[in-house]
Parts: sequence; C-alpha cells; structure tokens
Amino acid sequence: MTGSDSVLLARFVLTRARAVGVDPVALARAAGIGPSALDASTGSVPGQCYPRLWELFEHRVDVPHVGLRAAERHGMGELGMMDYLLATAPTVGEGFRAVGEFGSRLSGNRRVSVVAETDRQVTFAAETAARGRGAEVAAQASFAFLTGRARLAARARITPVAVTLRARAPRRHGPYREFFGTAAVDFGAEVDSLTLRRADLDRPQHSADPGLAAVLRRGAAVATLSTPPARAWVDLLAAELDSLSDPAPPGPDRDTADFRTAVSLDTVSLSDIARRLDTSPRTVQRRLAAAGTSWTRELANARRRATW
Amino acid sequence: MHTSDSVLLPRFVLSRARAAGVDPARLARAAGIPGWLLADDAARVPSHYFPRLWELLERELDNPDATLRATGSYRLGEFGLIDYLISTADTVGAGLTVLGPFIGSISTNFRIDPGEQTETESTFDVYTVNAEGRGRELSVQMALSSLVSRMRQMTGQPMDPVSIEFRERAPRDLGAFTEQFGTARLEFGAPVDRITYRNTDFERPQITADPMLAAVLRRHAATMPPPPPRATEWPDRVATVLAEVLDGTDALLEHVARRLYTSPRTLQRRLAESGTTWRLEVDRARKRHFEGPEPATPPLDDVL
Repeated sequence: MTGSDSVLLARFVLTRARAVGVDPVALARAAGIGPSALDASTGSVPGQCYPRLWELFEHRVDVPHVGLRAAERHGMGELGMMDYLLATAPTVGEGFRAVGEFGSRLSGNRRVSVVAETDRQVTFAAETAARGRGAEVAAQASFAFLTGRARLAARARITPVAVTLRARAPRRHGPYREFFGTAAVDFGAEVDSLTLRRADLDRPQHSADPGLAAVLRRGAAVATLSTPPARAWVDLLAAELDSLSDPAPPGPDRDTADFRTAVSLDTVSLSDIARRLDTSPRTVQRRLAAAGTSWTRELANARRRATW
Repeated sequence: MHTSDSVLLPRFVLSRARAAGVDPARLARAAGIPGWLLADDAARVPSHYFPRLWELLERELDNPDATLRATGSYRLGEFGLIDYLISTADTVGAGLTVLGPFIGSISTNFRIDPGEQTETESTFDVYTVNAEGRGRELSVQMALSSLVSRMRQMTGQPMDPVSIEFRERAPRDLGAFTEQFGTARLEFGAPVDRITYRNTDFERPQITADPMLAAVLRRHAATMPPPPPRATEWPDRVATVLAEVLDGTDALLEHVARRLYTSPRTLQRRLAESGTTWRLEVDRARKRHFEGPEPATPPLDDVL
C-alpha cells in the first residue's frame, strides 16, 4: 500500500473513540500516528494508519459494529472541504458524486464510486486495496457516514435498498438492521456496497448552497493530498515493533494475529516488518534514512522501550 | 499596472441588465467582451469591462440610479470566494481584515484601505487602479453599496455607515443613495471615496460565522495566484501596530484594539489563543523599537 490518508480521517476516528471513553492519544500511538501529526489540521498519515485505527478501536471497545459510529455527528467540517462539498450539493446524489469525484483529496487509498445504475436505484462501492479487519470496518464507517449525512441534509430517514459488506457476519445483526433501517444487509460479500433508491438520491438537501458549492469545487479541483512527512514512517514502525511486546491478545484481524504469533521483538527482521507494512525492505530503509534513522537503531530503541 | 477581475463581476452587471430588460448579450458585445470568456466560471477578465458595463447600462436605461438600484439586490455569495471568506469570520471586524489579503480573488483593480481612525470611528478609502470617468464613479458606487449590503446580510442587522464621501459630483436626486445607505451622512465632490463606520460595529457577531469553513476557504485562497496573503496572525498584527504606535504615543491596548477593528477584551483573548499576552507583545515591541530597524540584508556578493 503506497497511498496516504488525510490526517482529518484519523482525527475523525479519534473523536469518536474519545466520545466513548477510549484514550485517543494511546489509540493514535498504537496505530502508528505520532502526536505532532494530530495537532495539524492539514497533512496526511501513511495509508496503514487509518484502517489500523478502526481495527484497534473495535478491539478496545469490543463492539463489531463500531464503524456505525461514523454516523454520529460531532461537528460540521471535521472532514474539511469534503464535508462542505457534500453538504452544499443540490441533492443527496450530487453530494455522493462530489465525494466520488474529490475523495482523493481525503484518501489516496479508498474511494466511493458508482458501480451499478438503473432507473430505480444506484449502487455505490467503497473500494480499497487495503485488506484486513480495519479496512472492513472503514468501509462500514464510510457507508454509515454517507447515510447519516444524507438523512441529515434531506431531513428524511433514508433507507438503503441493500447493503453488502465483506466482513464476516457478526453474532448480532441487530445494530446494522437498526441503523440502515433494512434487513437487506449481507455479510461475507465480495464487495462493500451501498444501494440507494434514485428517489432518495434526488432529494434536495437543506444545506444546498450553489454559490458556495461552486467556490468549493474550484478549490477542490486544485487541491491535492500531501505525502506524509518522513517522520510518520518512524512512528508507524515504532508502533508495529511495540505491538510485539504488548501482553494483551490481538484483536480479530488475522494478519495482526499472525504477525504477533510468527515473530517476537527478539526475532523480528526487516523483511518481517516490510511484509507487515505491505512494502519492501528497501522502501522501509529508504524512508527511515529520510527521517535520519535506521532499522537497527529503531529496533534497538523498541527493545529498550520493551524492557522498561 | 495590469489589473484583472473575476468573471463574476461582469456577470453580475449582465444579470442585472437582464433583470432590467436589457439584452445581456448585446451589452456584453457593446463592451467588447467575447462570449466564450463569460462561460468559464473560473475565468479572469481584464478589469476595464466592469466599469464599461456599468456605464453602458446607465446609458441604456437612461437612469443615473441604475447602478445603485442594480447593486441593491446583491446577495452574499455572488462574488464567490471573497464573500465566503468574509462571511465565515466571527465578527464584522474580523471579516474586514480578509479584504486586504484576499480582495484579489474578485479583483486586482480595487483597493479598500484602512484610513483615519478616531476613538469612535474608522474610515476606509476606496481606490481603483485602472478606471476613469463615469465608469469609475459607478464602480465605486457598486463597491460601497455591496460592502454595506454584505455587512447587513452577515449580521442580520440594519447597520448603516456613519458617512460616505464620494468623489463624484452631487446627483440631482439623492433618493437612490439614501435608500441604499440609510442614515449615513453623504458628501459629494470629496477628494477620495471613503466610508466611515462606528468602531462598535466591528464587534458585532456575524450570523454566517463558521470557523471550520473559514479554515478550509483560507487554505484554498492561499493557493490562489493574485496577491500573496499577508501575515494575519494576531501576534504579528499586534506587533505591526504597536511598532507604529510606539513611535509617537503610549502603547494603549484600546488604541491598538481599535486599529485592528476589535475590542480590547477580544484582542486579549486572541493573543491568549496564540500563546502570548498583551504585556509580552508590548515588551517585544519596545525591544524592537529601541534596537531600531533590522540591518538591511547584505548584498548577495557579500554572502557568497
């Protein structure tokens, strides 16, 4: 995975974690995000961090439907320009399209796009190259967020026709049925998709503002997502190494569990870590060098931290 | 100096022409504006079209009030980015400070500069870089009238300026002027075009305030080509004014606050938000003052 995510996405998860009593600073550190990245309202974090945040958040609260918390409204503007592009669009459907069109300003790893369209309904898919539990929860969060915002802007309880999720079926379907307002939530599907009635997508939004929308679209057209600073990779590496000395059992993510049973802080090699971060040993070395450090040095630091 | 406008300015005149029953396409042609230029939302156009269009519209309608009447229906947002940069600020005063650094997003032909100040009132002088004659007079009418209208829309209050001075000669009938500017004292044949507001008005909260959106828009505005934004951090701004104040009179918190279109209390809060205090800034300014101006940067040859 080479893309990055806006730091706003990371803050989005952390705000929700804080709301249910999870320490956001500790959660961010465990996901490989350093404190300096979180203070900024611009910038980006490596693509591994955002899904890892959801994975860890789920593990901490032990709630499989934690992604639905994305629909809780903590504040207009928390996703920056994207929030306003979505809100000022004339209709719900135009708002979704703006998210598809300009989503790359928020995330280089995931996007929402139209995959099927009929006269009656439109299917949106949340696409990402990321695997694992965190990516599954992140997709659920995207759908919950979009559904929640659509309901708010249209002032109507919009109910999807169908929702398909890659995640395995949880023990209880209740929270999903309740949130989406439909029993048509399929788990273990090939793709994460959300199907809405065209009639719902054509609903006007009360927050529509054509003048502001035009200004924002011009801004979004020239905006780009920055690459994370070199330091971000050191933070990410440190979080992975520290997780090896964490006495708590790993969560439901298989890759995380495999990683922690296969290697320990005594045996971990550069290629183990590179595999874990979905990149090559050379890239890891290059990024560490860019931040003025090295694999040997970071490993020694992690071992020292573990013995404290 | 070459100056340009956002295409939104000529479009504004043309939409009012249409509303008044004048064919906008014909008016645009008469002003020499190519049709394709008007179609592009993001286009910059030479700034001589705008005064020319007002002049043509006035002649077409044979009504000296045409510009003021047309601008009376201005709605927040019609001037694009600059409108939202101003409207999302917390207070009227904070909104005004946006004009300096970002006015270029709508036009590089207009300047609205802070002028004289007293304890109770502040003036702003309006200049155009490239405009002469009647076209200039009408452009200034529009600039002042939209400024007043925008402020009323953003506060939801019927705020009138204290006075307005126009360079143009007094019209035969003041009706349109009083309708637009309310109780403001009007003067004509003045040396500069100038508007005066009560300082207490700058403290008024804006109902359109939205700090998150303001941050998004300012980031966007900062990437726009025309004028690079000036330093707008509160400590920087206080330092600049303090340095001026210290040259002559005592550093008075109230005086400085007034120069920044805010109240002493708000100013202190802003400084606290930026991790400093009034006292600290005064000390810093004094130090700078006694140390004198920074030595000039040595020429490149000396450095190499």
